[in-house]
This record gives sequence, C-alpha cells and structure tokens, in this order.
Amino acid sequence: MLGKNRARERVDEWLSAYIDGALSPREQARLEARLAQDAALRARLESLQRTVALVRGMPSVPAPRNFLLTPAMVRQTAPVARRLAPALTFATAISGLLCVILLVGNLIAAGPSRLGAAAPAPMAAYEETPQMLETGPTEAKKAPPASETALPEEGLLSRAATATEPPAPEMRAWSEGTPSPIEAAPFPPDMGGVGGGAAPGPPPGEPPTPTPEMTPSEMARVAIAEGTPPAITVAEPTPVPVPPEMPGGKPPLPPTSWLPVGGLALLTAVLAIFSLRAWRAR
Amino acid sequence: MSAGRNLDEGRLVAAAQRGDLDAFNELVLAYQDRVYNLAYRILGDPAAAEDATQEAFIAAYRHLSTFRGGSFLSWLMRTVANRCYDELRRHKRRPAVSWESFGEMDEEANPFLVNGHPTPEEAAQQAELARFLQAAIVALPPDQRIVLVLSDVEGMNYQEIADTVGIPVGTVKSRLARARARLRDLLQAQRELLPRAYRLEDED
Repeated sequence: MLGKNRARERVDEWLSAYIDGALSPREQARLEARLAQDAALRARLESLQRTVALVRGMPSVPAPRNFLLTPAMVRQTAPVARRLAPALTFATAISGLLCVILLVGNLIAAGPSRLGAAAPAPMAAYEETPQMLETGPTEAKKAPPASETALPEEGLLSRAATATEPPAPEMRAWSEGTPSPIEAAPFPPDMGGVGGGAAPGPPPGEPPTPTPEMTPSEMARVAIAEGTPPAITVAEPTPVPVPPEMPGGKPPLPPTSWLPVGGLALLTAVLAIFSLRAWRAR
Repeated sequence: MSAGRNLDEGRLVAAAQRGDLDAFNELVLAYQDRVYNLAYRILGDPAAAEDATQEAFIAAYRHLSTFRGGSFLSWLMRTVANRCYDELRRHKRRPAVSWESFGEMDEEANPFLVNGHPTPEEAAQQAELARFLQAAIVALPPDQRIVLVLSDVEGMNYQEIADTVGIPVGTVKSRLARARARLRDLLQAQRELLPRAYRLEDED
C-alpha cells in the first residue's frame, strides 16, 4: 500500500516536471514512450494538466485599496530599538563599571579579614591548641580524635594537671556528651571559639588543678620553637587571645555589604540582555 | 515576471534608495495588485493579505539597501512571499475560505466578482470556479500551497521558488507535484460542485 502510494507520487512528480518542461531529454523520451503505451497514464497526465491550467487561468485579485507609504509609516522603522539600543548599552557599561568599583572596594576593605576568614577561626584554634600544648612525643602528632577536637579544653586541663595522667572522670564525661559549662557559656562572636577551649576555668565546684608555673612555661617553649608568640593567654584563666589570622583586628565585612554588588551585577546582566536584543532588532 | 505598466523602474528604485518616498510610492502603485494577489492566494484571507501587503512594502522600503539590481518586482515578490510564509508558519493561520465551507460560502465574499468582464453568465461561472479553486488551494498544506502559488499563479521557475522559500530545487519539484496531485484529487472528488465545463474526469 505504502509502496503503491510512493510509486504514484513518483509518477506524479514526473508528470508535474513534464508539464513544466523540467525533465531531462532522456527522462522526457522515456516518459513519452510510456505515455504512448499507457492510456491510464495519459489520462492522469491530462487531469493534471487541466488542474494546472485551471490554477494558471485564475483571474488576479486586485488590491482592495492603495498601500502607499507615508512618512509616519517609514519613521516606524524599529523606533524603540533604534532609540534605546545606544542608551541601553551606555547604561550597561555604567552599571558594570559601578559593579566592578564596588566589588574592588569591598575586596580591599575586607581583604585581610577575608584571608583570615578563609580558615574558619574555630578550626584554626583547634589545630593550634594541641600543638601549643604538645609536651610529649606520644600521640600529639596524631590528629586529635573527634571528642578532643570538640572539646579542646579537656586536653588543656588534663595536660595541665599531669602530662601523662588520663583526664578526670568529669572531663571524660564532658567529652562523652555531657554539656560542658564552657559550651554553655556564651562567647562573643569575634572570639570565634578560639578561647572556648583555653580561657575557661574549671567546672563549677572543682578547684583548678593545673599548676600555673608548669603549663605556661611548657606552652611558651613550644610556641617559641614554632616561631609564634607565646600563647600565655591560653593558659591564663582570662579570655581568649585574638586570633593571629586577624592582624589589626579588622572585623569581616557584614554580608549586607555585598548586596549592592550582587544587585548591580544582576542589573548589569539584565541591561546587557536588553541591549543585545535592542541591537538585534535594529 | 514583468512590470504591470511602463515605468522607469531603475530610476525609481535608485531614487527610493536615496530616501525618496514619492519614488517608492510610484513603485507601490505599479505593483500593489500583484503583491496583494500573491498574499491573498497564499494566505486565503483578505484582511491578512492586506496586512501582509502593507508590511511587505514597508519592509521593502526599509531594506532597499539590500537590493542589488535585477528585477525589482521579483525581489518584491520574494519579500511578500517570505512574509506570507512566515505568517503561515508562525500562526498556522486558518484560511477564511475553507474547503469544507465552500458549499455555503456567501457570494459577496468572493473577491473575483470585481474582476468579471465577460457576460453575466460567464462571469458568474468564472467566479464560481475561482471561488472553488481558491478554497481548494487553501485546503493544501502551507508548504505545498506556497510552492503551487509561486509556480502556477506567479509563474516563478523552480530556482526562483527555491530561492524565495529557502529550500532545494528537488524539494520544490516534489512539493509542487504533491500540491498539484492533491488539488487534482480535490477537484475530482468535488467535481459536482464545479461548473460542468470545468469538471475533471476521474482517470481511475
């Protein structure tokens, strides 16, 4: 069925091209030979010729009105696009420039503090603390277990008491999930948790066990060996040292100061899209 | 494809390219019937054909700088054919005169009546045939319809049609053959609606 239809289409294509005189001489000769023998093919050609003649003989339809152009019509040549494209491009450039200036300004203002912020303060403190308290060659080189890193003050206090003794049961209890009073105590955000493990005093009801002369000297020795200033403050019961990553104590820029940059970047992108479209419309 | 009347086409086009709107309007007056006829045959709707004609003239004026010589009428016809083709593809426009509604079409809606020169009886017969044919043409799929109109109404050759529609010559040949065959089948199927003198015989 499909093959028959295809064959009919092929024949119609030949007949149509024959009517237009678009067959090659060889194709034309072959078709004419077939037409001479095939009455049905001749009838098919005649009906097609008649159809074409009918269409070609259709009278022309006159225009119902004049289509003269007026200056107003001609002035409509892409009016909005033509006017807006340069303005949009200029606005895009200005917006982009402002965005870059603001971005650079913010980066300069927040540069050092951003560098410090690259390594979050609590983590830095956790990495520092075991080194500073390092007294023996034992497991100190290894990364502290999660419980220790979660509560660095445990290590500090236990080592301060005796370098080799295991921590007191109370301390173990803290590391096993008992909320530590240190954790409960609120810290100012700028401490970043650095002093969370160093500053606090002993748990309530328990006298301070560390010997004040031992711990600071040990810590100072370690600190000098590492070329950092002695973190004596760590062992002091008083608060937390300023993290070394924040020289000058410059606070990081508040997140809201990046909002105008984002807004301008978005505006620039939108303007760029519109100006591209306006140029294309021209 | 020749100009409808004697006019210095080259001079008018050159003047229009320099921004002379009056010169361009002379070209509009000379060719508007041809342009409208083509738009009407392709779109099958008088209002849409008017819009397409007006837009084609505006577009032609705007893009006169791209005209590089040759036949201005051919260039203009390609412009309007392209606009009509875009219109057909964009909106899948349904013709105002459908094949199905041919039987009950209002006589006054027939644009060919204004063209009647012969005797009243002949004119009526011609008008009926023209309406019938137009209804059959707009019943064709758009791809076939535009090729048929450009070939058998506008008299373009295969290469001109290929350039206008943007398809290979081989595709023009096959689409034209399918359009003609389909039109023939439609006319044969509805031959009792045709005037007796124009009825096609069924070859099967």
